Amino acid sequence: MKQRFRDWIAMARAALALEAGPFYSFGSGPAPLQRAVLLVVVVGLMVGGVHAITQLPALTRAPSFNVEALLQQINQGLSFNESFGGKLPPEAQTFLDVYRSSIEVFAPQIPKIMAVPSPLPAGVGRFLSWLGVWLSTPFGLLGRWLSISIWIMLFARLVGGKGTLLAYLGASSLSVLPHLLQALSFIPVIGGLFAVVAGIWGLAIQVKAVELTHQLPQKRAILAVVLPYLLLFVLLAMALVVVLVLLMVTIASSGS
Amino acid sequence: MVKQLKPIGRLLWSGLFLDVRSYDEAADGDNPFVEGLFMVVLIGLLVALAHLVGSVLGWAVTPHLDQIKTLVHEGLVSMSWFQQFVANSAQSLQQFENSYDTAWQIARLLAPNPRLALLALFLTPLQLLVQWLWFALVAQAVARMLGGQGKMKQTFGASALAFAPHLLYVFRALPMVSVAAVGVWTLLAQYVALRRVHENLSWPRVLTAVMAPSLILCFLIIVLILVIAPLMGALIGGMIS
Repeated sequence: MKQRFRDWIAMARAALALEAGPFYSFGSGPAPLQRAVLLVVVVGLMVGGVHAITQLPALTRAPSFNVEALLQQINQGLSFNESFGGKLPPEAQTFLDVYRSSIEVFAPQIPKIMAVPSPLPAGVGRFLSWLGVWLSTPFGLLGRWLSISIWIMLFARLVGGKGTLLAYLGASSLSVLPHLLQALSFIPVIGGLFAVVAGIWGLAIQVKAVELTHQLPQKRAILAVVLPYLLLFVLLAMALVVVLVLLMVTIASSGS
Repeated sequence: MVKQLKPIGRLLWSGLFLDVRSYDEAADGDNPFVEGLFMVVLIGLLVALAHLVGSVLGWAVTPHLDQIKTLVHEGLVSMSWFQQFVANSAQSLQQFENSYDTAWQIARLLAPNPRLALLALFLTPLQLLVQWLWFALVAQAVARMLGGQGKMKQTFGASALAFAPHLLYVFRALPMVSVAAVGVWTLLAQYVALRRVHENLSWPRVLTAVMAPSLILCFLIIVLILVIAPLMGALIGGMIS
């Protein structure tokens, strides 16, 4: 067991260093997807597990709600907007007054709503919610990995790749390893940076997986990995242009 | 019974991980259609049972909606916008109450409901059966048009096994778990299934056959909307005039 764990650690280190061995090992065998899914699930559980541990204290106490703090926050926001935007027209001022007083009247209801009981004690709900967030992490990672991998597989074939689906999926599962860094995403300020590093590192591993399983030169492997993202970018840009044109047409027609 | 279920469980497990041998086994069985039918119903029942457990748990940890409805209502009617724009007109007040009730009826439908989950015990297997038959029939027809030589019964057997990723939905027995990846995993399984049945087809042709059922369904839905929308418009227009 201990030896097997050591083998896995050695394999992970080699894959992160883009050595060829783990890619061949994960891309071969009778059921490459079984090992690949196991890897993704373990990484997902570890990332989600760290987040779950940081949330443990919240399990034991009921969530509190501070009405005064909320009102203060809203008033500060409104005052900031007023000072930034200058003096408001009377209609806007009336609207803001109604908005502010409505929130002030409603806010005391929020703690009462939060205290509404459920058939089972609230602690059970908090535990299930905590467990749900934890167990959903591997599914999220699995979904992202599979979704991007089928597109990369498609483009790899289009640029001349010869690899099989299962061999590529097996090898590409190693691209989730850098996402272990996301376990540190709870750290303020630099937490987001870890996600960026994990993303770029993951792409480098995908390139290696394409290169080795599809027997493609590095330039073509890069193309196969980048093209799906480029396509997504183009589609999003096109959607944005369509929305903008529709918006402009609507404004123009309402103006005339 | 357990002895009978064991080989099916093993087949589903290896089918889930896209083991090509399991797809060959499912396609070349004694009666692939009946075995496929049994597999799809079994998956549907397992998923529905998990959904039932999840719904009961979800209901048990959801605060009483009627109390929340009352508290929110109390808060809303005491707000100054309500007093200014709604309370002084009987028509506005009625409209508000109707909208408020409708919103809560929708909330109740979306909240965990063990009674609806009981209905799913029947509907989930049925839904999977319809999906399976539609996929197998259309994909087989397209694959044959593209030159595939696999038989219909083989497609029934292998494509039934391609529903194995739906087993991931058993994790819905825990109410707050969001299960992702099932759609894309099923798509991959369907690709492997058709590739094994129509071995002579090139991968772009197999991919076309795999995508065809979804694309045709989307096309049919769009056509249906285009046909129904003017009819509904004319009907509503006629009723108003």
